[in-house]
Amino acid sequence: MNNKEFISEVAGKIATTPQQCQKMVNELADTLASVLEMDNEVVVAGLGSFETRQKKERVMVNPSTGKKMLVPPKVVINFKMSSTYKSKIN
Amino acid sequence: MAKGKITLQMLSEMMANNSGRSKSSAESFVRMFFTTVKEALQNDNIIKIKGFGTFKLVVVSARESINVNTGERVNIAGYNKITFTPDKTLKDRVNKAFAQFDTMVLDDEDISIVSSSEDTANEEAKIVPLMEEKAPVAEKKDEPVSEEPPVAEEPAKVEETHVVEEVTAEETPAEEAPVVEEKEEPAPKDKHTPSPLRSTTSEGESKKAEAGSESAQRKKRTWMIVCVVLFVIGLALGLIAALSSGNKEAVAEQTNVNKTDSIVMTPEQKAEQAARDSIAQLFEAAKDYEQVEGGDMLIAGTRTYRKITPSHNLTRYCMQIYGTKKVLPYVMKFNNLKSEYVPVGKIVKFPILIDNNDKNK
Repeated sequence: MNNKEFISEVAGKIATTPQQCQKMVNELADTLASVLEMDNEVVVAGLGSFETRQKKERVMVNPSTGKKMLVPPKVVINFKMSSTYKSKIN
Repeated sequence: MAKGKITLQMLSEMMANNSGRSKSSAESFVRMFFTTVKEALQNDNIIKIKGFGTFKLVVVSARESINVNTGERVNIAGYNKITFTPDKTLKDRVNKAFAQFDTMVLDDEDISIVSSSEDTANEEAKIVPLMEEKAPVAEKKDEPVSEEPPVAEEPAKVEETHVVEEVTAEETPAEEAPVVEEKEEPAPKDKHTPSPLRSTTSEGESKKAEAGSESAQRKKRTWMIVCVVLFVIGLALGLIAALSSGNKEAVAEQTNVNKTDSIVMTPEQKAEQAARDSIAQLFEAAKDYEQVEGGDMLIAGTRTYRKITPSHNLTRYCMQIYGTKKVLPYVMKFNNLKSEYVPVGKIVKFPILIDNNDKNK
């Protein structure tokens, strides 16, 4: 399902225009980011949870140059399925 | 680690506040959003949402593993799972703290940075200082570099002259060789031709070696001679001044003499003077920073950076860096912190601290 389809699907269900719906998606993403920035966990009942994870620095070999590179540490977003959902799709 | 659990309701409330929409409309949107995601995943494998991210249905194949306690082989069945990859904007927002770091080429010598997971908390923090501390090191290098060129010129010159000698020495035996072949006494002369070659090269090498050590020795000797000569001149002036004039003048000139004596400094005195100068520089630098009122110490620059982790908090880093917790108020002031409890993930800068009482030394 691409973006267009998804937006029109949601817009139809809550009776707004697709443009408004896309705006709301962006707002949701912004709010989610603010929440995750503060090192919190967002739980979506029946789906899973969004949390942040810290990745440590690591050494990697650049496949094109063959040189050893140092990848800096970073913070990433991790989505974890809930057990109910897990059993539902299996 | 203060991981608060945010529910959909709270999320939609925050969204309503941020966007200015009504709480009810925000909530209905958020619920419908995730419901649609769930439904869509029943029919499709990939759902791409612009501005948010991509939800994917992934099939994980069965694999063999080992029961940790018993050591038996265990079969883990295949299953479906949902993965989420955030959109660029979302990713960058969350990674704000580390945005300034880039992957860099690693020279072989730096491999010691990356080590086992136990030490990685410290190692993580080390990357930041590794990059920042290169600046002050670069500044310090300016001083010794100026001393090196004049010394470097001497051995270079010496080497050049010897290279010239070697070349001329090698040419002459080369000329001798064809001459020797024409004559009817090849045997003894053959011995002669290689040997001059060998001797000149060995002589050249030994001369080079001698030149190297000689230049080093010459360096030391000229230094010593200069020091001694200046010292002697200073003493001589002092004696002349003392003998030629009366008491008052002698005292005055002796104080002058003391000043001239101080020009002739031993290397130890020079080091002390350099230390005093650098402290003076730090006091100058301290004027640029907000200080702790009534504090015994002054903040005079940034010393290093550390990132707060679940295992290392502000107090622990203070002990690591300064050896005491008493510096906490200075670190807090330097980072505009209201409390010593800093959230995990924040990068804190640690100041260069100088004793306020050193001013008059």
